[in-house]
Amino acid sequence: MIDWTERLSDYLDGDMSGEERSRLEAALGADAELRRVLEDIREVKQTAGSLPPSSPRSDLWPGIALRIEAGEERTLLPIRGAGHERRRISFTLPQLAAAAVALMVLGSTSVWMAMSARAGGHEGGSPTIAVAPAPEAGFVSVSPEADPDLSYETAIRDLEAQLEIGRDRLDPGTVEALERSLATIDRAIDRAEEALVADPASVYLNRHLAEARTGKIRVLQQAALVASS
Amino acid sequence: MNVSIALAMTPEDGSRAAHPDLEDVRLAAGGDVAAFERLYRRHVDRVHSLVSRMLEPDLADEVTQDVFVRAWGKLDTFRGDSAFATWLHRVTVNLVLGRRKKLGIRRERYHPDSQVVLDRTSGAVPRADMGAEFEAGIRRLPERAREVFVLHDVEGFKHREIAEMLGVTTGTTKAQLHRARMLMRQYLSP
Repeated sequence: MIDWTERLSDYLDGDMSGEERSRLEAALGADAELRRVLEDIREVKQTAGSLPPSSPRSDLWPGIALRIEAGEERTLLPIRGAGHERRRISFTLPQLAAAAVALMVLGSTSVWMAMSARAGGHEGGSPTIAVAPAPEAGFVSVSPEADPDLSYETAIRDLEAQLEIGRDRLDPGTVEALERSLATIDRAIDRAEEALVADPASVYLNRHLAEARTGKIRVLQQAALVASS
Repeated sequence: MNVSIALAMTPEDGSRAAHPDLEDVRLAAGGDVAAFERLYRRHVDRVHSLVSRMLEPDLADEVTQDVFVRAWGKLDTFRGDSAFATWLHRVTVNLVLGRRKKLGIRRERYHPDSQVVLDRTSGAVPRADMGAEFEAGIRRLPERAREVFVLHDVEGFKHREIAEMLGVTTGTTKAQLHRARMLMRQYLSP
């Protein structure tokens, strides 16, 4: 004897021959429990097909942009040496990340990142800002009441100044890639700032802005590090 | 990169139609990051949903980012004989399956007679909570049943496509789908 319950999904999905279909429909006509199971799994199928999409906890684009610009697993940064001889230095992303952390102790960058991390907006186990413990040297003391926006601007200015000094040592291709990365991140920052005008209390938008700004600082840190080496 | 783009075929209805993705794919394949960002904006939620339902919600952000980085690197393999969304979903599924393997998540063999019960506090599910309960039920499904259920009933892939992605027969995917529906029915019943 056929267990028609096992064939209900095939019936529901139209994966059944005409003869089998007729026999199953006859069974349905005679069996209320079979009809109930069919209606239940029909509802399961319909609910599954109408589930709303989920969104990431924060905008993932700045991180994606950084990774695709970096060439993901291996980043080649051509550098023009002082004697105009060309050499290529190869970094892995972990090395660049480590270098970025080392540079983080210099100047007001650490201050802004520490303040951003304290400012919150990183609930739900989404650690996107790693703040290294600050060694004694080079850590600028800023009172907790300091304006994070102002500290961020100062950090960016410091890094841009460092980068400008060593800019001539970077290969033009690297400079072009760097500028593309920064333009992408700046667009994300602009969008977040515009959205925050309408919804200044939004945790999501504040976190998005903080992550985009962190991304910009990291790109500048990496470039400044290479330019000064 | 040189990508020839044909007309798109959506997985759900098989119809052919032009799509704004095509131009952005062409531009992105040529190195246009802004075009790729537009593709990301259009598709991130569906990719994230798929990852979240097939893997674990806690890993969804990280793996979604991985999907788009991989997609960028593989754009030159997109031939345009399916919709970009379909291609991207395949990239996503492959990455999720690979990640699952890497994490050592065990795949159980399908035994038709196995007694899997999805525990839930008894009682009718209020309509307002149905979405959350439904998602919780999906997460409790056995791995194979969960994969097939998400790909077929949530994402709209056909058995033939799912079987190809998972390396099994359509008989297996049909059996797993029915198993998943029956388990979900049981889970959601009062």
